[in-house]
Amino acid sequence: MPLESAIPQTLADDAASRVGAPSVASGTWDGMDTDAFAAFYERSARPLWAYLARVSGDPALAEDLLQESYIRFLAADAPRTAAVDGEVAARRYLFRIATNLLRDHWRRPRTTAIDDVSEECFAAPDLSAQSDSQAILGPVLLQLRPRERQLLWLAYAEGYSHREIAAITGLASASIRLLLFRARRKAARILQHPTPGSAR
Amino acid sequence: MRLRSCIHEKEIAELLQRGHWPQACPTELRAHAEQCPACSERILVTQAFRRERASAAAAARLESPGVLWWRAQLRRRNAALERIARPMLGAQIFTIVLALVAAGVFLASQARQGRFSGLAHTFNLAALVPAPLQNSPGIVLLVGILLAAIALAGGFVAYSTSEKR
Repeated sequence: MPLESAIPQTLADDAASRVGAPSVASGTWDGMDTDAFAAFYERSARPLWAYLARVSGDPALAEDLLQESYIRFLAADAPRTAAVDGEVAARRYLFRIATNLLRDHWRRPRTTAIDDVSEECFAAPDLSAQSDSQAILGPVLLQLRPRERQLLWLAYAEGYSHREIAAITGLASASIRLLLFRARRKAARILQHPTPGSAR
Repeated sequence: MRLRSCIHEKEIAELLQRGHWPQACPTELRAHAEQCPACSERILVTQAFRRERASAAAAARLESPGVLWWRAQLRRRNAALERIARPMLGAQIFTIVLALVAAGVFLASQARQGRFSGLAHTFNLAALVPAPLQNSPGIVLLVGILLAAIALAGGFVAYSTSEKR
């Protein structure tokens, strides 16, 4: 997967202009050291995982994409940008990287060889941890399109504004309002009448 | 589809965002929300998604930040090495091409002076090389083919031993 497709353009340009590798010995990186990163990760990883897991509907994929998002975030000099713009901007960048990775995942043709599937997938899944959350919104999310899930999650779970959602998803700011309005109406209808096939 | 918005929607959205809905909000606003389809839709969806967010976040299984930090450093270092190696690869290709051209020019000039005319006889190549190729241009052609074969074999060995493969 090309790096440029997942990194916001400003960050990719910034990364391309720099050649030097980070200081491994000192453990610092453009103003963010390992401790600062660990603290930032602690605060931001769970919401990002929730977003990826619920929008994709696949917790294992969410774990992979979460890791890839942070690695690209660090590799693209985002910590330096975060130091300038603050943690809110850094979180937005993370969500944007994750959104691009999700989009790339959906675009990729789905061919998985049996040898590539891990042993865990064949074992009986432990549903105890997921049962609560799936009981809340799982059926509703299943009846929504990925784009609708994405927009609704960013707007109502994360509380992002239309402009921020436009920056994260790459959609035009003007179209967010209408798309979100339709998605919200659909979600509300499913929530009010939770019967299968009531989405249309 | 007509977009119906309400003047109280923004206020309700802020209250929901802060977690103040419905306890810490005016009674009139609650009464309005019960009547207004846009506001009640927003409340329903926001509350459902925020509950889901809290529930999903609690179930997250996270990798250690140290591992991610290390992997990011590794990737960045590899990217930097690749950037440095790119012009070096160009220089190597240029050098090889230059050496091959120089060798070709040298062999051609030697052949024109007739220095390879007795070469087949000197190295007893008469049995190996066909008669039409035992003259000077023929030897040059054979040497050229030999050099090209070495270059191809070298390229193949370099590719098969490279890390990228």
